[in-house]
Amino acid sequence: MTMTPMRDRLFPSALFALFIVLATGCERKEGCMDPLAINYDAEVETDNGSCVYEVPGTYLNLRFNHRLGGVDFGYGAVATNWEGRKVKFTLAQFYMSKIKLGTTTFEDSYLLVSARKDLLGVGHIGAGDHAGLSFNVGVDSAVNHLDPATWPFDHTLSSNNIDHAHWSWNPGYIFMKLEGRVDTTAAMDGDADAAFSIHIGLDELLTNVALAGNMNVSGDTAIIGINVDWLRFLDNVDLRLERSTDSFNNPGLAVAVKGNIASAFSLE
Amino acid sequence: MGLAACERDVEHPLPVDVPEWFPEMVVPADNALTADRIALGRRLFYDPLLSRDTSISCSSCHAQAMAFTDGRQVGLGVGDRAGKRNAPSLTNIAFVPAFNADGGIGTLELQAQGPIFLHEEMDFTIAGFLERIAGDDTYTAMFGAAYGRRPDAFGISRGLAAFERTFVSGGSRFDQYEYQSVSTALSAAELRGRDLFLGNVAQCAQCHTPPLFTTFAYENIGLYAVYADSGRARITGLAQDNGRFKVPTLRNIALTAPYMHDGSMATLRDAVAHFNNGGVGHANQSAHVRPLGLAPQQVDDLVAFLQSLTDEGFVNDPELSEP
Ligand code: HEC
Ligand code: HEC
Repeated sequence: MTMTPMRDRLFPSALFALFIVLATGCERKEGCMDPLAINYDAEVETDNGSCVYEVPGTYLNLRFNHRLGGVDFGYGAVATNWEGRKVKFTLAQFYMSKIKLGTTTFEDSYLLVSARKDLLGVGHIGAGDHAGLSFNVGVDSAVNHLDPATWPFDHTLSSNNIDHAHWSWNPGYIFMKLEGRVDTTAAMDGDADAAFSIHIGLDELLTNVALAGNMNVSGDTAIIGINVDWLRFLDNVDLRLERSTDSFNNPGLAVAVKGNIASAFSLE
Repeated sequence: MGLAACERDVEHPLPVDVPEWFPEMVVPADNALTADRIALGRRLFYDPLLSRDTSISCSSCHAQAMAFTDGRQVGLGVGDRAGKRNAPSLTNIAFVPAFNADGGIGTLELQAQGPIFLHEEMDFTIAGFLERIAGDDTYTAMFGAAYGRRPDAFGISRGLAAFERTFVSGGSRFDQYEYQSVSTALSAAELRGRDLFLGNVAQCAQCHTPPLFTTFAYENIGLYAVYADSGRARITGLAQDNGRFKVPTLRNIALTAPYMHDGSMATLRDAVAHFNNGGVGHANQSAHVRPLGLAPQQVDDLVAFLQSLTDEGFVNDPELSEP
């Protein structure tokens, strides 16, 4: 036998071995990237769908019953506000965080509540009776100023989110966006045609809402219903005079709307 | 051993030349400069798919031939919506510590996400862009090579920032004269202008300090008695910051008209005349801005000097052009 066949066998396998070294060397560490999972690994750079979640009890969902005073919310639907003025919404959304049911706080759960969506998942909680539901409208300051591109792909706070609401001039989330049109005639007999745009943000405008009540959760999933009356956010605001704020350029209007936040929510 | 074989984890010289007389370029830990990242960012920077109606890319307002400005008074976005400020030059943006005229943004990575969403700029969403490029295998491969992940906000913001960091400009005739001992690089008028610029009478270099021609401080130069744009105060809320704006670089300044945060000055001569007049006397105005009493010849010399700060190699660099 000559050496040739031997070399033919050796050469490709040596190449193959080299390839393995390069490939594993350059591969990003794979695993679970969701901090909520029990096998979360902070060093992982590529999520391979292997996340495993502990199921300690009941999975809690919040169902939002979006209202415009006495009627169901509808984009573009004309409603009348506190003083009888015609108002319609073109955009209505807010971030919700630090949701607390009874004594359990969902530290890492952030929701982007939009009037287009009604059911949002929160996390797991032990079955049984829980007294009181509270949450923040907005994002806590520790998280508010992080780069939104660094969250996992599907995270609520990621700039990949289709409804992502973030200020580019003074980085931080826009906690609440209320946009629409209003009738500004003195006799309130015109059309809702003047634009309003109210953007609430900045750390000092983070607002806690506490709803009293006893809630029993059981089974695999539970749903708690919350009424959101979008008109109430604008209570006592004179939309003839004040129609625009980015919180910073017109803090008075932002503070007035913040003052209405708690009363716009109730348990179903 | 496996790690040592990996390109991404090895210390590389920067894939961009930084002149010796420049400060060190500091790059965030999660976005070390690599050729793959720069290539991805370059494609994104020139891609109009990032705008709602696919009409506008970053380069629409930051064009290479104009040292990454647009020649307009204020930015013009999707649907011809006008912004409020003049598009600044991105010359040497890698060395800038805080972004926008008011310094409200701390990283280039964060800044890069702003224009995509801004109503008066691209008026779009990252989610919308990702949907548009979902079937684009080239993009998918480029994000993979650059960041080891599928296309997302992380790769978009990091890639754009990586490309922008290659906008390094230190090849003007001033650089040849000042740092490379080419004593003939500046004309007699430019030399007189240089001495004025650096000297104690005009005091331009107090704020526009070489080699970057800025201290990055926020200064009020007395453009207006009442500023429509509050500048730095928009971020800090402090009365003493009213009308203060980040000192802009003056490199490639002959290519970036019109001037000032609001694009209110058409020519370099207007700008020099403003400093010669000494500003309107705003309460926050810098003590360095006061009537200078320069003769018309001296104003001409200063303008000539500013024109020597143009780097032809930079605005014609094929590596920075549309790929
Ligand atoms: C419609 C025009 C327009 C478009 C499109 C645009 N910009 Fe700008 N850019 C501006 C204006 C105007 C400013 C100044 C903003 C300010 O000072 O508040 C600016 C500021 C910047 C700055 C800060 C510069 C400094 O010195 O602080 C960077 C960096 C930048 N833009 C990068 C980009 C990138 C990357 C894109 C694409 C994703 C982009 N721009 C798209 C107009 C535009
Ligand atoms: C107190 C600091 C300070 C001094 C001194 C100063 N500048 Fe400026 N300069 C600035 C600031 C800040 C701006 C931007 C102002 C704005 O946009 O409202 C500016 C803007 C400019 C611009 C327009 C730049 C652009 O991109 O729009 C030019 C040109 C200029 N200065 C030249 C000079 C010259 C020449 C001198 C000396 C005669 C000088 N400056 C002295 C702070 C200074």
